[in-house]
Parts: sequence; structure tokens; C-alpha cells
Amino acid sequence: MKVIGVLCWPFREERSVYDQTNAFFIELIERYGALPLIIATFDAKDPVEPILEAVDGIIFVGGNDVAGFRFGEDPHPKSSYIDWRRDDFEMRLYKAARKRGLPMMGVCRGMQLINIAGGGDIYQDIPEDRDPYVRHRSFEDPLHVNFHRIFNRSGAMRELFGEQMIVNSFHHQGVRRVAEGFKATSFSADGQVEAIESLDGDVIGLQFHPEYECDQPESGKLFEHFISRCKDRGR
Amino acid sequence: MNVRIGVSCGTSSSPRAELFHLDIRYSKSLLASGALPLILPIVHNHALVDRLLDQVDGLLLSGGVDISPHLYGEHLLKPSYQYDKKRDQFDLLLYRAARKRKMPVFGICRGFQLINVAEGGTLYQDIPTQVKTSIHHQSTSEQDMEHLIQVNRSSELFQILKKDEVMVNSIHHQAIKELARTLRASAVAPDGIIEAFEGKEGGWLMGVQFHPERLTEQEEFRELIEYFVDVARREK
Repeated sequence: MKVIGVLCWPFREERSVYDQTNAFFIELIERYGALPLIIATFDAKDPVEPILEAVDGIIFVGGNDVAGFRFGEDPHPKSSYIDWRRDDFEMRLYKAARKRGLPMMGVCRGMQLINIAGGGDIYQDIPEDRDPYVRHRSFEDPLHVNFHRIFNRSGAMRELFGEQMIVNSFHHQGVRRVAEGFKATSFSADGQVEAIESLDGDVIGLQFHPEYECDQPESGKLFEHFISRCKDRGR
Repeated sequence: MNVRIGVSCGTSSSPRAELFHLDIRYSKSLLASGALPLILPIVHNHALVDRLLDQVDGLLLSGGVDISPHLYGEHLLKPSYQYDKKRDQFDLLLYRAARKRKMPVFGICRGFQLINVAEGGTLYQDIPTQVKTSIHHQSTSEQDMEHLIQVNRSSELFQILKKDEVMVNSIHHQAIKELARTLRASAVAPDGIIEAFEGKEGGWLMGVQFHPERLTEQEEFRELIEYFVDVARREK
């Protein structure tokens, strides 16, 4: 059975810190015939290689902004929820897993993290840094959810969904310079990158959140596609 | 890191989704003991429970929310008590499947209580309401030591801690009332509340009411977690 590792974001309470993740990821992995495991966030001293032996694919999930220094910038006044430990762990895990050829999916922050770990960069705040006309986040709704069109130009996104689709949107950062070895395959109407794919097809990054629309056929297709890229190592 | 420990998790919800969570001190203490922690999500398809256990060499049942009193034949003492039926059901499936294959199982706090319930024991739903005691079992400052426990000299726990009496932390309001017949108490608090047990038969089984994963600054608690990891490594 294929084993897919799902990463976490930190959740802080007064006296405890938790690793936390979204049950929709677990549901989608299960639905498409793979076995989900949740991967705890490691400290800088903990080697990530044992994780690569335990899983056949990894999902980098949404959450905190990535610290600006990871791509050579100073902190932006609109950037928040920086988590050094999470950035460090995910960058190390991404690089090690990429070397090993493990398929990976990045969602929202997950895509941005992958792009940064691969040598690209991001807008630290889309509304201030690039003046888009598509609203990538709703400011009235406490959940910040918007929906908008994206245009699929190439790659798996084009093959799976044709020219256009509607996606959810709740982010204020986004991919600027695409990492080497990757291609931006989908864009919003204002030219913001909405999906990136590695040229070998093993890594896909999505600015939207397929897991929140887990009963939409598009979400199913994305997980089916991702799981089909993972190799069953006979667990 | 040639040994893998599966850790059960808790559930919560956000306005958008159901979430799974685990206090980071469980994974930190396992990593420090040389084990790879893998958090076991609550899957819908229960046929996957055995596939999840195929991935690990030991099972750690973690702490968290109260256990439904219906599981030991009681009604809720107070309607305000909260429990998580879905987690109860999944933890029981994990526990029974792990025991069936004689996988080493370690229970902490809720995990300790769950093992007792799974084996046929019962719980106090609320210590302050049901037990006359001067000991404070629900500490407000988690790091601090709250009370002594007396360790049974003939227990495996004594071999690990090497002390008759140890100070422990205490963060619970429920406790074991009747210990299941398949378990043997290995430590008690001065008020008689059971603080640790061991399995009498089957695979390696231990449970503690306190939280060793939050006390790894101290050698004896670090050694307790290392001991469990060593058993899992040896028996894999």
C-alpha cells in the first residue's frame, strides 16, 4: 500500500504546542486508496531521512508565512505567523525528499515553501507588492474565503482540468520567481501563479486548497493524480 | 532511528474543518529516545487500522479528552463533561489490534485510562467529586511536580525508575476506579489512586497516569520512554 505523509502546522495554547493538521487530507488520501500518516514537526537536530524511509509521498500543508530571510529578504510589515522551527524542518525535508525522488504536493504555504526551498521566491504580501485586481482573500468574511477563475496553461493542471476552472482562495502571499526546474502551470486572471509543477512531474504546488472542497471532482482528480505518481514500496 | 512508534492523536474542529492534533512533547521525547514518531490519523475505513500498525513497532496511546463513561457502563455524572466518541472508538480499535499482534503498548494519562477500560476496568469520572483526597491531581502548573507515587518493588517500573518513591506531575481529573483483572498496579499515589500498571499477560503493556513526556529533563522519566522504545526495537 502507498503511504502518504501529511505535515502539520503549529497550534499554540497557553501551556502547550500542538502539531495539527486538517482531516480532509486524511479523508482524500484514504478515498484514493493510499494510507495516510501524520508527520510531526522535527527540531533542527533531528534527522529527516528516516521519514523518507517511512513514506512514499509527502503533502506540505498550509498555514504560517515563510520567513523573508529564507529567500534573502527582510521581514515585511504584513507578514506574520512566522515559525522558525516549521520553516527549518520543511525546507530540510523538501530538499532531502527531492533528492530521493519522492513525489510531493504543496498546498498554499506548502507550494510557497517548495518554491522557496527550490530557490525561487514569493511576494510577501500580494495586495501591497503587486497590486492585483483579483482578490485573493476576502476581507469581510472572517474565514477570508474567495473563489475565482484560474487559467491552466500546461502540465498536469491543463491535462486534468482543461483551460479554466474555479478555485477557492485565501492567501496574501504568492509565488513570484518560480524555482529552477519548475514551471508555473496555472495563473489567475491578474497573472498571479496558481500552480507550479516540477519539470519531471513529481512535485505539484497549488495556491488553492483542494482539501476544503474535498467532495468536488477536481479535488478528487488532484489527489488521484498525486497518489498515482507515488511508488508503492510494498508496505 | 531504526524503530518506529505510532502515536494516537486528538481531534478538534475549526469553522472550516475537523482537525487532528498531538502535543509536540510526545514526538520530541520519542525523537530524543531514537525513535521515529508517526502520528496515526483517525481513518474512516477501519480495515486500515492493521495497515497503520504494519508501519510501526510500538503503539503509544497519548493523553487528551475524557473517555465516554458509557464504555464502562456508567452515565455522565455531569452533562457538562466532554468526551470524543470517535476517538474512543478508534483508540480502542488501535489498542485491540496492537494487542492481538503482541505489539508493545504504552499508555499515558487518557491512554492509561483507555487501556483499563478496554480490559474491563472502570474510572472515576471526576476525582474531586468522587474521591476523598487531599492530593491535587489536576495541577495548574504543568511542569511542576505535584505529588509522590509509591512504586511497587516487584514491578518492571521499579526496574526502570530504581526508586521506591518518585515525584510526578499530575494533570488529570479522572482516574482508575476498578483496575481490570488483566492488569497489575505498579505505582499508587498516597491517597490510593493508581498511578501506573503493567499487563499480566500477552505482549509488553504499561500505562502511567502522569506525563513522562513532559519531564524529560529528568533522567528517570527519559529512561522510562527509552525503555518503551527499546522494547519496541527489540521485539520488532
